[in-house]
Amino acid sequence: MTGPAGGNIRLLTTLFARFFRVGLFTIGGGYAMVPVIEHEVVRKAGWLSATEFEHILFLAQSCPGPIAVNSSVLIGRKLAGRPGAFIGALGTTLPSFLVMLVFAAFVGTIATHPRIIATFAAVRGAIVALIVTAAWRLVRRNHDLATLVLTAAFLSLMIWVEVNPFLIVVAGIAVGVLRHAADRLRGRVG
Amino acid sequence: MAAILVLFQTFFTIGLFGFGGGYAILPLIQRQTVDVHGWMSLREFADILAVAQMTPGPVAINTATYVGYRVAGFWGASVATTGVVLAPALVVVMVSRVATRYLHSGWVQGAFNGLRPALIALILYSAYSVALVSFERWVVVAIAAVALIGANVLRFSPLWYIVAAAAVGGVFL
Repeated sequence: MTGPAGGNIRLLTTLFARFFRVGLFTIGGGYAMVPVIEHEVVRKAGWLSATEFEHILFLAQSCPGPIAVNSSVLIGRKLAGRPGAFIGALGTTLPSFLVMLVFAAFVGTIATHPRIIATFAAVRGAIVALIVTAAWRLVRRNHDLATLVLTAAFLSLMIWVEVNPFLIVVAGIAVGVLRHAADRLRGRVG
Repeated sequence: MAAILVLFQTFFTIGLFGFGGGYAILPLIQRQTVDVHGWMSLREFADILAVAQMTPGPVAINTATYVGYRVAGFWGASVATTGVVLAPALVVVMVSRVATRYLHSGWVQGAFNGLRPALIALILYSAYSVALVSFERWVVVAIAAVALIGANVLRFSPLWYIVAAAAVGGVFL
């Protein structure tokens, strides 16, 4: 690991603050957090390069569990070792835990107010835009034909055939490994 | 005490087998909490989903906290949430160790090349899922369009768009 060793209290505090903010503002589930995490750790803090962040997303989506938690664990670990991984998980999880606790304790009392519903509907509109932007950034960095065709194929499978997203991840790994195998064979033959 | 242990074990298992993230984990949570343990009715589960879409954070964590609280109060919520996060955190660190060691091998690079379109498709699918439940009014679509242009041209922090959208929704809708 390239980051400084664990025990750096200031780094850990900043890490916690950034991930807490990511967790607090990302309504709409895991992938909504991707653009916000990118903004906080790649653009603003400069902790990771765009490629390093991309690698972390690949690993996070290949493993079980929410992608936001997985990626913050890996980012925290890269920056500050084991304590960093713990702080990353805690920072991302705590806001949703606290908000949900309040919801569970006072069920239905706020959720049905029309103004609250309107507020959240508007926020979801912005969330859609942010998620699309995250995808667009990845496309802009990798717009070779194979990536575009596979993306379209995978997306269609999920929307129209309702294929489970994890099977898409498995298919992605399989296609990538098979293409590498084919390249090697071709290289050996001629 | 027994309830706490069952909660932990259940949500640890959900986390461990929760491949695909987010909405892909929901059927797993539904089976465990509604069918297997009877902690809530199907109707209640649907209500939680609606709430989870409005509250921050991954939907798996929202559900774990909510169910844990309903079954065993604050400690139930804490234990269920820890359980659902713990297994994925351990797995992803182990996988990352192996992948980092072989980062420059052609096989890992090949897998990454295949994972890239899968990631982009999953992100777009997530946008599609959110749009499906929220593009009921043209105002929301307009907000999405404005935020899309803003995020790509002006490059403010994404958080500002969320705050601005909330203000527009709260005051004008």
